[in-house]
Amino acid sequence: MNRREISKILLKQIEIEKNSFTETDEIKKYKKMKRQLENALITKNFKDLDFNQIVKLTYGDNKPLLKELIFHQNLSSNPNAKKLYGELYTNGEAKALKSLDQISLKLTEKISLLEQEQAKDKIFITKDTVLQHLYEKISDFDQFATISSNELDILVETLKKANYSNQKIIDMIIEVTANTIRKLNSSKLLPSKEIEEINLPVTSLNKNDIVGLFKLYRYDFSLFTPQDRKLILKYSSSEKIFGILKLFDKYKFRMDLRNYSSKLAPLFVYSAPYLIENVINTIPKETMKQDFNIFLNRPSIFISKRFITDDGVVIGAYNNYIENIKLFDSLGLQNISSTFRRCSSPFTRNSSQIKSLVNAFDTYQIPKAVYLYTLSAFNNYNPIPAIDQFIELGCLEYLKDNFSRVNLNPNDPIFYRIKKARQLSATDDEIYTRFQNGGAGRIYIRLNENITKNGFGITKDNCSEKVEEFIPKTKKICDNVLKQNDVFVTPTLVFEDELIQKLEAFKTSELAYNIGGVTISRYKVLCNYEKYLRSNLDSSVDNIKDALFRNSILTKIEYDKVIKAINELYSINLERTI
Amino acid sequence: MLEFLNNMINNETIIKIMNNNDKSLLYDISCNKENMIKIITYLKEINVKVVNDLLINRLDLFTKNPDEIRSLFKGVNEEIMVSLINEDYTAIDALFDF
Repeated sequence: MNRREISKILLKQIEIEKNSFTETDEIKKYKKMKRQLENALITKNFKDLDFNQIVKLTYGDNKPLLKELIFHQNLSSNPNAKKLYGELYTNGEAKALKSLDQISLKLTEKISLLEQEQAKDKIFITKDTVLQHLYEKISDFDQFATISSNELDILVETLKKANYSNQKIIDMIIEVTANTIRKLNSSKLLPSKEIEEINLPVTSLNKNDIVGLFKLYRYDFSLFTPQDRKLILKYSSSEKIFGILKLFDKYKFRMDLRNYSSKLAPLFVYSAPYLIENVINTIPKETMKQDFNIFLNRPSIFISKRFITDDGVVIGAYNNYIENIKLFDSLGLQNISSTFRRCSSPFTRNSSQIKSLVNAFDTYQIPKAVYLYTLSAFNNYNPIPAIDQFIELGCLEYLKDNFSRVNLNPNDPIFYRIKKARQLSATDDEIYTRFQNGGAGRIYIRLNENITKNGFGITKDNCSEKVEEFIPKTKKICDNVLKQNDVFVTPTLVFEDELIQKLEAFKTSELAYNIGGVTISRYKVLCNYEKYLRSNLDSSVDNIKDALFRNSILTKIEYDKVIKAINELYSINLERTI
Repeated sequence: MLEFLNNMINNETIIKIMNNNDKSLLYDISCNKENMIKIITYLKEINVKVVNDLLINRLDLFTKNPDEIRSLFKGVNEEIMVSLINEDYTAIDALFDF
């Protein structure tokens, strides 16, 4: 109830803040004038135009221009002028039209400058953006826990403005927090977040105007491909085009329209100058100019919404990009450009998923430097089963050096070959080799050929058979829980569970249990069991066993050893209880 | 969205690409058709056999300029790098180490 009440108050406040960001009278004045001028250019009827005001607004005190235009105005309102003045009339008209075209561009430039001035304050932290984020976090229990103390202050301030008493505010916040914790304990995490959807209207721009606008910044519009030219003319606006060109000029970027046509065109159609500037500001200043094209390879990061047009659907990644940049930055990622160049996809993935993976990697004690250096590790929706395999096979050191291997499928033959090697008592050196590239610098660890190629005769078709794998039956109810909760959850409830507390007797390190001489990934068990508890399954030895054996490559002998140790553990305790 | 790849890769791979990548990346790829075709052709030319794995799992590489991909391979021992990638496509990350 209180969550809804708080959300309502926030929405109301967002509206108030947004309305305080309406067009200024000055922008309205320029826009009205531009409309009048454009109509006049189309109808060729100039008699109602106030040239005095137009020239004053665009060129200041330019008497010769004013004289020329008023002369033309007088002529054009005289039906016999053409006949009377002949060639003199025709030349005068052509000259006047050219001047009016230029005035139109000048007006566009002025409007765009004013809008940019106004939009500057909008970058990142206007009040309505902060409130919007807060509203999203309040409405989404997964995100509630991410509310910062500053945001909490703003929430309190907003509720105070809505005339709630201090005691009522405290009660509301406590109730929402308690609900969040309850829901976190019982529901699936990470619902997909929808982004705003826009039906993009057709604007049908005048080609000559746009050619002129590009020319103003020394660009040849014809260098865009015919298809991209068509797209821009169909959906863009002269204000947007001007704003973007002006922005590129401000940062001294020279766009390669010929080679980047299909990547630049979406910016002119679906982006906005302030979005582009926000992305530019995420690039290190020193290399901004040369690195911009790396980011341009991914036009979606400049687009914040989902656009529907007759020509298809376009999905922006701006919000995820900005969120992920903030996250990576807070984790200490040094060079955004080189990391983005190396692997750009994690930057545009759902930011909640990325946060969840960071949480998982931290829980598994993967050093930040390792996963930040190998962002391709974030390409996998669920890399945890691969980490569990490397832990259980005693190859965590290799994984940390080759972290992109978390993208391996947990059933990959590589794991079975390592298992076989371990069955034959292979040491680490017989599984992987350390080497230095070029004799100096970093030491790399590489799997030996018997593991990567068809060593031990193991292929993807005979993996199980070659290592005499025993696959225990799983419980259907547990299967369903794991299927519905296939992302990482941080173990919290499990530590309160008595059976898990007893199981901790097998803990040999933060990451492993040694149960009857068999290594089992500790967090695999804890995370699986956490999901069972959150889904209100009973705490039982059977469920512990189910959580233990998932994804492990075990022989029947190893399975029996684990079962024996588990039975002993719990029966000893049972006897004690009796 | 990926119809332009129909002649280069099979339907099964196209479906996997669509399932494994976020929609914004798929859109970016659609803005990059010619370059993507050039990169696929180049990788096949230098004997990379795991192009499908790269397309499914490292689609972002195909948003790059083909010249950049070429120069990355020229900057390392191409033959060794290709053999490492063929053993395990994730080795392509190492291209950026040098």
